Amino acid sequence: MRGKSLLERNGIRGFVSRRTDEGIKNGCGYCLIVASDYERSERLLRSAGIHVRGQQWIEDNR
Amino acid sequence: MSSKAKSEATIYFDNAATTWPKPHAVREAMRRAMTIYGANPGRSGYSMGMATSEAVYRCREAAAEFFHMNNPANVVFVQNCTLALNIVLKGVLRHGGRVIVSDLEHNAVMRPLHAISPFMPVYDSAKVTPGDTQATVEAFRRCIKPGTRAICCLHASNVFGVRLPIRELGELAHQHGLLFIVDGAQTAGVLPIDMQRDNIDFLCVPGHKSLYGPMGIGMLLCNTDVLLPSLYEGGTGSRSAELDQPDELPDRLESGTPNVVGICGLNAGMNFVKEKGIEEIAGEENERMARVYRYLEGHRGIELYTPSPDLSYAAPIVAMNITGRISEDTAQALSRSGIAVRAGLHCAPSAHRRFNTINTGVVRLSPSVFTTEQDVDRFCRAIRRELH
Repeated sequence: MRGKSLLERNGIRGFVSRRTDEGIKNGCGYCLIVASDYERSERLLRSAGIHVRGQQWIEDNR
Repeated sequence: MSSKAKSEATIYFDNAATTWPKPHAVREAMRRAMTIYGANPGRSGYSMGMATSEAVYRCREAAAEFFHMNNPANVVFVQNCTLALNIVLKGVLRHGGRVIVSDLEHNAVMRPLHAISPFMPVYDSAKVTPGDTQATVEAFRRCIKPGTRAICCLHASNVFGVRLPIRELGELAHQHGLLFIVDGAQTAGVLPIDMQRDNIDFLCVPGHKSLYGPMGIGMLLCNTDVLLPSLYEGGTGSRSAELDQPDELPDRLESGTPNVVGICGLNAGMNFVKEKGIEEIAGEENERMARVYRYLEGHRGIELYTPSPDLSYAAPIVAMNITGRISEDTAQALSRSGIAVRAGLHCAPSAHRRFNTINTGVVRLSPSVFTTEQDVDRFCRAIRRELH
């Protein structure tokens, strides 16, 4: 939620979703999904001290 | 019922214990939370669970902004201010050391300290000189010794309203490498608290007093990298495969299902205070108490213990007695006139020893934003009847 709020304040829309991989066991159990500004998003999150455990590309099949 | 609606029979002057009535917005936020935030936050991915998580996080953000703290994740929700103080004091002193407290502290500070070491006190007590910042800071400075880990003090006395110079005490603490812990029970929402400016490392606040939230919710705000141990452990929704409690805040200090309804009420309460304005609230409350004080000081047979309330050195509280009567008798008599005041020792025996009221207690009047001049006048009439 903190990451989502941070990105929104910087003009990046994101949404939080439940993770289905190892993050459930070892992390907070959630991931933050953004549709653009991927690298900037990660920089913003890291600079705010938010631990980014990894990134994953999700296919948009619409 | 409107937010101004009160029982016809009761004039409520016990707001330093719990503010009442609560604003309409608070009651409505809680009703709404019961209806739409019915799932556990931070555990699931379905829409009601996510919405609940967002509602809880919004309150963290609001609290961080309210008390001028950078990281909303460092806002920890707890049951009340007492639990927050227990977590901090028992955490800071877990490997030994001492704490400096004031001579006006509440049992929420003194009993945890006593429990840590019943036979060998782990605290040094500094004498507060009301209205004299320099003398008070010097008294705290004289208590610093090898092994001192922190200064822990209330922002204002819950009995006599005496306000402590927290900004200067925070400076003193940091000059000497000490942690600064503030018990904001009596002031959060009625006097400004800026954790950055006031050098506060840990701020403990209740939700149910001047933040106008419900009972059963409070906050511990952590403005330091010092990681406190958990006082209790359990499910957090994070790192669930590990037996160790997570290091990250707020999870480290927040196990089990949180009080979502209380959190939503607290958020609405903080918003109410923000919209009304802390300075305006404090000004109005102080005016009411100054009116009480002016009436009381003009009567023989009334004992007062402090100068007339003045926000520069006091929170808006009046402590009084009728000469020759113990405070509980006066409170009983006032209760028969429909006036609710708190008498006795107010869980603060240190403050009563300091003001020589340990045997009689005092009658304490404390207003809220809903206290009117008419309420004050009705109290004054009731006191007049008791004097004659």
